Formats: sequence, C-alpha cells, structure tokens
Amino acid sequence: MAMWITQLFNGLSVSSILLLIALGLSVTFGLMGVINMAHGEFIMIGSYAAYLTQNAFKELLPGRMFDAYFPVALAASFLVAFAIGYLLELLLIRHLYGRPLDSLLATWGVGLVLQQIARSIFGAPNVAVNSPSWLNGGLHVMDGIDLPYKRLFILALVAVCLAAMYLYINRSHSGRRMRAVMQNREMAACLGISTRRVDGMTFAIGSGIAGIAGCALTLIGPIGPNIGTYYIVDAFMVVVLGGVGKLIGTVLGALGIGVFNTMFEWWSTASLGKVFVFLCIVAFLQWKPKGLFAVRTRQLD
Amino acid sequence: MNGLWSDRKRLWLLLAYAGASAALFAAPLYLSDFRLNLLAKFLAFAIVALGLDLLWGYTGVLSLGHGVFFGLGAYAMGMHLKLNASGGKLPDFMDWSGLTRLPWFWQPFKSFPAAVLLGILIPALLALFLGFFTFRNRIKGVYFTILTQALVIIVTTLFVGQQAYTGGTNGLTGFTKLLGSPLRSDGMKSALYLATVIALIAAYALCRYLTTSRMGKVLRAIRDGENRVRFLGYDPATYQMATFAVSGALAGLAGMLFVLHVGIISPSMMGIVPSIEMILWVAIGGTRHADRRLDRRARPELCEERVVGGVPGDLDDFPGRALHRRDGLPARRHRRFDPQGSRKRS
Amino acid sequence: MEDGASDWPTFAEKARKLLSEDKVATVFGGWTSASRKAMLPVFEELNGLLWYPVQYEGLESSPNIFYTGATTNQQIVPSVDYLLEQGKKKFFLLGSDYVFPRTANKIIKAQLAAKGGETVAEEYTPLGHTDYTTIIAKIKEAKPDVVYNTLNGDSNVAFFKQLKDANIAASDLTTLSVSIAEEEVKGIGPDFLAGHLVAWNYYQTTDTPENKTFVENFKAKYGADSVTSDPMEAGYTAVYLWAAAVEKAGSFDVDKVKEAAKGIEWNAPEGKVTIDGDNQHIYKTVRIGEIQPDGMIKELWNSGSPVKPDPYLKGYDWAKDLSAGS
Repeated sequence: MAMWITQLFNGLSVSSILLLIALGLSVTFGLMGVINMAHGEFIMIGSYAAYLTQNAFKELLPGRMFDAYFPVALAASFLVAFAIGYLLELLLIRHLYGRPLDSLLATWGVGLVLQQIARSIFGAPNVAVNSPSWLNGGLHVMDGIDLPYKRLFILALVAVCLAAMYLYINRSHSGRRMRAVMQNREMAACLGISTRRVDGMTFAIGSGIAGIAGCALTLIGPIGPNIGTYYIVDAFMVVVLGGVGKLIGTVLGALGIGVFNTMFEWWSTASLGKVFVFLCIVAFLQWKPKGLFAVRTRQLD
Repeated sequence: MNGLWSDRKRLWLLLAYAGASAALFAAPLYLSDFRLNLLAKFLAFAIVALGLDLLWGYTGVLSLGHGVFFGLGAYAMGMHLKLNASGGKLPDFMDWSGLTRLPWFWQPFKSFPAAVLLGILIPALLALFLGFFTFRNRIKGVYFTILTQALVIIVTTLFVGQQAYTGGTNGLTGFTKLLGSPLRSDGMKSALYLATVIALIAAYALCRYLTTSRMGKVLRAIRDGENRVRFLGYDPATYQMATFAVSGALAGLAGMLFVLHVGIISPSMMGIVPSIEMILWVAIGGTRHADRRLDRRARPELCEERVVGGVPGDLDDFPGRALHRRDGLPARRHRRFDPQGSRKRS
Repeated sequence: MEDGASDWPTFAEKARKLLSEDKVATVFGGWTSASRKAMLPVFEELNGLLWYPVQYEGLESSPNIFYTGATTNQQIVPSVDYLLEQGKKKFFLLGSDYVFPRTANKIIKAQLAAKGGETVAEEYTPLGHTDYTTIIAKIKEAKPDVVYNTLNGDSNVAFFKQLKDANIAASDLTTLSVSIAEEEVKGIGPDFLAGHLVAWNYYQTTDTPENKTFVENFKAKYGADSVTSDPMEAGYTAVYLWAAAVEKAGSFDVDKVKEAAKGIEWNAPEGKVTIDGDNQHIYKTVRIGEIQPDGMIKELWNSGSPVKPDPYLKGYDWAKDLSAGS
C-alpha cells in the first residue's frame, strides 16, 4: 500500500518535472512553431544562473542569509534565460519563421555553441549547488511514505507557472496580442499589432520558463554543460503528445508520460520502461496524429 | 532538360563527372593509407546523404532517424565480421555476458551475401513498416520528424541494453577478416575503397534515375502540394513510403561500408546527434539537387579534419576538388518555399 | 595532443592518425571502456603503445596496452570482500547501462554466491538517466544491507541528491561506489555524499611522501581548489613508468620498451607499483574510503601491500565460469 502511494507520488512528481521542462517549449514550439532544439540549453542556462546566484550569496552575504538564495536564483534564472532568448530571437529565430525544419537545424547549432560556451566558462565537470536547508527532508505522511519537500516544491512551482501562463495568455492584453499573432499573423499586423515585438516577447517568455525549470532541476539533478541534452527529447515528446498549441494538452501529455514511465520502470527496468513509453507515444500518434488536443482548423495545406 | 541547359554546359558537366570519377578511382595511387581511409569514410557518408536528400529534398519529409538505418546496416556487417573474427566460437562479449549458444538472429550473418542482403533489407523494411503507418495516417512535417527521434531513442536504448546480443555500448569491434583475407591488408583496403566508390556511383545513378523519372515528378508534386496530388488521384503515401524505404536502404548500405573502413560500430553512431549531423551534410550542400549531393559529401568533416588535424594548405590534394569547385559550396536555397523556384530547374 | 571528443569512432580514427601520420612513440589516454575497445584494434594493427589510466572491467589483456588503472581484482573483488566482512550480506547492484557495470555486477554476483552473500536486485539505468525516485523506491522495497553503485557520471548526482531527499542517509544504508572520486564529489556536493563509501587505489589524502609532492605540484599548477583523484594519479604514474621503461630500453621502439617495462617498479603517489610482465597491468594497493563533509576521502581499509593484477580472475575459484572460453 505504502509502495503504491509512493509510486503514485513519484509518477506525479516525474510528471511535474516533465511539465516544467516542456512548458517553455509549448510556447516556443507549440505557439510559435519554432522547433527549438536549444531549449535544453536554456534549461542549462537557468541551472548555471542558479549556481552563480548561490556563489554570490555564499561570498557576499553572511551565512544565515544563504537560504534566501533560492527565490533570488529562480528570478535570476528566469531573467537571464529571458534575456538570452530575446537576443536569440532578435538575431536568428526571426529569420526562420514558417520554416520549422530549418529552425530545428539552426537552433541545434545554437545549442552546441551554448554548451561549448558553458564548458569554457564553467569547465566540463559538474558543479555543485547546495539546496536551501528549508527544502531538505520530507513530509512524513505515514510509515514508509516520505514526500520530499523538494518534490512538493516543484509541484507547487509548476502549478504557479501554469497559472501564471494561463492568466498571461488568456487574460492579459499582451497575451491576447500574442494569441492573435500566432493565429493569424497578417490579420494581426493589419490591426496594428507589432508582430516583431510580440514574437520577441513570446520566444523570450518560453526561454525564461526553461530557465526556471533549470533552476528547479538543480535541486534534484546534475548541473553541467550537457544537462540540456537529457531533457530535450522528453520535452518534445510531451508537447507533441499533448497537441501543439494547447496548454491543457501539454499538462495531460506530461501527466501521461510521467505516470506511465514510473509504472513501467517499476514493473520492468529503467531502460525497458523508457522503450515502452516511447513505443506507446509512437503508437498513440498513429491513432491521433495531432496529439491529445489539436487546434481545429479548416485550413488545408 | 530544357533551354536553360545548353549543350555546352552539359558537356562540361559530363567532363566534370568523368574527371571526378577518374580522380576518385585513382585515389589509392596518390593518397596515404590514412587519407584514403578517411576519404572512404566520407564517401560512405555521402551515400547516406544522397538517400536523405532524396527524402528531404524531394518529398519534404525530414527524418531525424537515419542514424538508425545507418546503424542497422553497420551492425549487419559488423555481426558478420565479428563471427569471422571469432572463428566458429562464440563472440567474446557474448561469452562474458553469459550466453552459451549463438542467438538465432545471428545465424544468417555467418554468410557474407546474406549479411549484405540483410544490411540493406532490414533498414528498408523497417522504413517501409514505419512509413506504412505514419504516411497513411498522414503524419507529416514536424510530427514525423519527432516520431523518428522517438525511433532513435527506442532503438539505441535497446541496443545498449541488450548487451549479450549486441555488445552494449562497446558495440562491435575487433574485426580481422573479410572473405578469408585480412581486413587491414593493403589490397583489401584498396578493394574496399573501390567498392565504396562504385556503391556511391551506383547510389547516385539510382537517385538520379528516380528523380528524373515520372516518380520524381510525383515526389516533387507531393512536396509542393500534397493534397492537390491526392485530389488528382495519386496516393502520396505509397510514394513517400517507397522513397523512405530507398532512403533507409541507402543508409544501411552506407553503414555497412562505414564498418568496413572504420572497424567499429557502436550505438553512439546511431544516436540523435549523428542523425542530426547527417541532416546537416544535406543542409549545407543544399537540398533537392541530386547532383549537388556530391559537393556536400562530408564537407563539414573535411573542414573538421583540416582544422583539428592542422593540415596546411587547401584542398588541392583532395580528389574531391573538381567537384567542390564546380559550383562552389552552394548557398543554402530553399526552393520548396518558393513556388517560382521549383519551376526554374525542372 | 588530440581530442577524442568522447566519440568512440573518433577515438579510433585519431589513434590511427597519431600512429600512422604523426608516428608518436606512445599514447596516454582513453576514458570509457568503449573508447579503449575502439582503439585496441588500431594499436594492435599498427603496433602502437597505449597507456590506459582508468579502472575497468577486466577480461582483457592486449600486448599493445599498458593498464595503469585497477582491474577487477584490485578494486571490485576486494571491496565486496570488505563489505562481507563488515557483515553486509544483502547487495543491491545499481549501475548505468553499459559494459563496465554489467561485467562488474556479473563478477560480484558470482562472488556473492560463492561467499554466502545475496544479490537482492540488480538494476541498470540508461546513461544520462536523471530520475531515481523509482529506483529508490525499489531499494526501499528490497531492503538491502548495501547498494553497490556502478553508476556513471551525471547519474550519480541525481541518485545521491534524490537518495538524500528520500530521507536515506549513509547511516541508514551503506553505498559503495566505484566511479566517484574527489573530482566527482566536488561536482555533486559533499553534503550529499558524506559517509558513503568508495573503492579506489589512491586518494588525495593517501599518506606517502610521493603523494605530498604530487598534490603540492598539482595545486601549484591548477589552483588551490583543484583536487587530485585516482584516474589522474594513474595517468601521472603511466607517464613515469613509460619514461622509466624507455630509459631502461634506451630506445623508443615499441617492442623494446614493452620488453624493458616488465617488472619496472616506481614509487607512485599511491605507493609502490610494479608492472606485471605477464599481462601489462600493474600491482596496486587497494583502498576503501569514506567521503568526508569537506569533500576529501578518508581511508578506512587498505590491502597492506600491492595486489597482483589478475584481469581474468584466474586465481579465484568462484570466477571459473565467468571467463570460460576466453
């Protein structure tokens, strides 16, 4: 019994991490149609931003302030990734709209460059980030069931990000402009929306969320130049499975993959579990080529 | 071939082809062992690139899974060589992994013709199988690309995990003989090199034939307007499937040649990164023109070798020069997004 | 200097270049098993000389390679014996899915079966795997005395961070790792690792006069924050052993150097090492250590004297079936 509850929680937790890494991608890929292979590197940027914030707190502030670094790191990760994303859109992505497969190759190159830069600055080995002490330990529910605070924190963080994005996209003025541009660029431009600005903003927001994901991942995973490559494929699978362009799709996609992955891994091995999950995705897409939730359109070609 | 292509241009083109082929065939005479080996490897890569271009340039379908087809071909040849090397006994890694008998699916690879045949057939059939479902379900564009990535993950994870049957991350290596003669003798090296040149020319001829035939026209039509083709009564899925299968088979062929030259195949050669690199060769050469594929032949690799190896001078000592210079490294053109462009040349 | 880019066919190609174009006298390097396997045929074909500095899975002895890292009987076998002596009977084997962990675990299983231990479970995760919650749940379910950890690289970071989150400390569950040295400790954060065990032949804290000089020189060159570790020490030792062999042979010729290298002794930072003429591995002292909160490793046990390398485990009765036929 305790095992089942733990595994259920683990499944949820894995889903929340998947959702966090896919959320940014659901904006850049889902809304804008840019196959952003450098998405993983924005996660990496977020992680390194957290690392630098931690170091700054360690050196500049008294020890008792150390625990406060994490909220600052979250903000810093978002801002740094946001800025670099904005810059990337300005210099490169802008020229690739409507050519998704080209954007794939170009951003892949960008990803390699970013990895190499990280390797030159921080070195190839992993760096250590100490989690704040208020996130150590776990919630003791009953015998054999401990829910780690870090996992709970990530769940909450995802919920907050999701809510913020929902509100931004559906309730704010700039969100409405964003949707207008993504749905019909020419029409939006005719109505006086600066599509350039909206594009830049949208891409930067997607990158910023990836930065937040990177910061959160320092709690549970490694921080090195290669970490982006571990998450990028999973992130794409989540978005494609959920259906491009719908937040709810991404949520359900992450939930599906996370829970199934945990279950399969429990019953078989980690390698086979992964193979099963990917086979399921391939099979599922045969049945529903556009994912769980597709934006309906009458457009042909 | 209309007025744009004057007879004189055609003559020059033919001469360039003849010169390039001659330079390639004569390479063993003037290249060192090490250089010849590199060139042979690049030529093998050029075959994958041809297949990819057939698929991407002519049907607009981008596969990020060609590393798998390449790897399957390479493993087919690798298995044959491994069995040769272990001389009737169980290959060393199976022994360590606790197998006592040769698994049934290794049996056919004892024979060289069977290995060659399977090295082409297995990738082709896998491509056909995958294509059958995806293209008929009208999965295309980005979705297809992501699906092929999933395929890569599945296959590499399986190959790594089934160490007893595939050699795990180490892959297959330690080859000694092919058809009874040592793999590393000078004669064998030249023979393998020439086999690669012939394979490349044959692959090129095949692609050329496919793209200039009626099928080529249908393929281009699919790329530019799939639904319109469907309304005209063609079934695009059949054509795409066929192209995907041919493309996979070419990748398998390239993989087999690669193993013979390099002497190792491991799952790292069939992962996502090599698959994307393959696409880059095509992208840098510019898609759609089968005759340009030879330009792009491993150009990045050449550059890399030049930079990393610090080889001085330019490419003058390379037989590929004639081809490279013919029209330089073409700027990346994407005529498929340019409705005018697609008419200019055909 | 050539960069193998951690890409295995690249290793083979570069090795070929170094030997046939640059005509180097010897090559030092290689990290993973796969890189060594890729280079091996090239070195044998062109009669080159490779010094491989990393602990590895044994079952190999090429005439063209000198192995200065530990083979299985200089790291894994004694560490399992040590754990058994400490009363740890139930082993949970956890490794990354590649050749070293699988072979190592095969050896461990045979050893445990012969010596009254028990393998409660064996799990492999894909390279680069970063979520260990399910594995940790499996560990809790299996209730082992010890987790024998052959995870590689980044996975270690995720595993130990998540182990701590699950409220499992080193005092509750012993783990022994064979791929975590001082440098990896630095990248994971000593907080997560303090109290866990490792098995190597050398630590930065190893108490020999040679090591004192080695560490001092190393810090002078790479900064006070840098740490030395077992693979570094093995690489360093390899260069001196080669130099000694060349001096003795009076030539760079591969065959002469190989002949001269037999039996060469040198006082390495880890203590005295000797090249075994039969299999070109070296005699090494085995050390079990415990990771300290400051990132250093404290030696708990050592083998007393250098252990004779035995890559095929011929000297162990229980290992007979492992290498049958090879």
